[in-house]
Amino acid sequence: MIAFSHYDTSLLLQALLRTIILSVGGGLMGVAGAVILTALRLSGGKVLLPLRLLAVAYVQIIRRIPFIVTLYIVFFCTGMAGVDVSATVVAIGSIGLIAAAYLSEILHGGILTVPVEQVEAALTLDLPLWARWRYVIVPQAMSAVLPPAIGYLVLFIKDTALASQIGVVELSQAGVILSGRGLPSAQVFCAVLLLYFTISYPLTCLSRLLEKRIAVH
Amino acid sequence: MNRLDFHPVLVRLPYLLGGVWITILIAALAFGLGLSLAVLLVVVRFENRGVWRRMSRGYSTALTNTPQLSQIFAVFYCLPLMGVMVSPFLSVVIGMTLNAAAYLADILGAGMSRVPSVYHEVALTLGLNRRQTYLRVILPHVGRTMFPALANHFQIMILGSAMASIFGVEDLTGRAYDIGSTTFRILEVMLVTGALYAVLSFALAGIFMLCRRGLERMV
Repeated sequence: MIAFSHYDTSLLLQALLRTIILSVGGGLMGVAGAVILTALRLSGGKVLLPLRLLAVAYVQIIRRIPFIVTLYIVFFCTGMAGVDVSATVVAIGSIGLIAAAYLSEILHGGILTVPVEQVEAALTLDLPLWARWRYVIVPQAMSAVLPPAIGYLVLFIKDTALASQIGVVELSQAGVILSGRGLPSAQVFCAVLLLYFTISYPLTCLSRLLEKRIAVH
Repeated sequence: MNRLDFHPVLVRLPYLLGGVWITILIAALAFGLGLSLAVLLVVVRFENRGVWRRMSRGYSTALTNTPQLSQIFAVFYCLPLMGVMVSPFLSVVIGMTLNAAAYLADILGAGMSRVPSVYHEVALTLGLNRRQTYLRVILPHVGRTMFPALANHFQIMILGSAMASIFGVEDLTGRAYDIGSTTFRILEVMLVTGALYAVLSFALAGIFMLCRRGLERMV
């Protein structure tokens, strides 16, 4: 067993940090985007119809394009438009774009599980709009939304590995670099996979735990 | 800002479309091999109560919590060290197979736990042995009930096969990247490629829906 030198370890840890930044940043953007998309999809009236269709089309289409292609499109779009941002920002933005689509599906589905009678009862009680959402719809929808949403966060952590393709030195790229330095590939990739596992597995467990909790109720 | 120019891409469209078949080939090969491996994993999970069962569970946990790209990298860099020389195409197929087996075993496992225990009893009464019970009763039933989940995973694998381009395989994304680097119209070619993937995915969704109707009629 050949030990990693100080420089190798620090590269690996910095790459791990970069992977976490990408996941958290992309996940947060995704949540924000999902709320907007879902609000549009649930909106009524004729004025918002084009936006509603656009939101549905966005969710349907973006989930059918490989993440790496989305990443390239965002990367070269910002390049062509002359927007000067770092590859990390591009990667976070791309993860945010797909995360918004997937999370919106979950959020939309979760809100639809709340029985109509509940909303009608809230309307009868003359609850204002914010109270209807805050005390009636959101608490009930969350039980259907949270477990799969956390499960999908694990998916986005794994998608960050593709950010290496636009030049972000994250965990999987660090593995390639270390392997190129002449370190034994088997050990390097074991370390990389193990690090991914240590950030993904707790979330998987949390998702499963929440699912069980809810099943008990 | 430059203007988009799709002409150089459209001229090379036949070459790009040829990549669609390679994409489908990679996904189909890895799905088929992964499903065979998954059947083994899941039968072990239900038949064995000891260390093998735990290993089968551990396999799924380990491979579903790490990125497929890193897994393919590991295969790509480690197989040659073990003296096994394989083409990039095969490395990708092997990596995707190992990954798919983990997910498909979880899907089949969920289906197996929902098979009514009467099925096992009836098979026993009919005098079927363990192998016949699985091959003729349990697995066909699981295949039918879990068809939507399996089809969905195939769609995910079509998208995942785009990673093959990173290893130099000429699948749809790989060919797109080639065209991009010869024509310098990479944004245009990626937009067309994205549209092609979306069309492919919608087409597959349609085919799977027909299959599902056929399956439902069979029952």
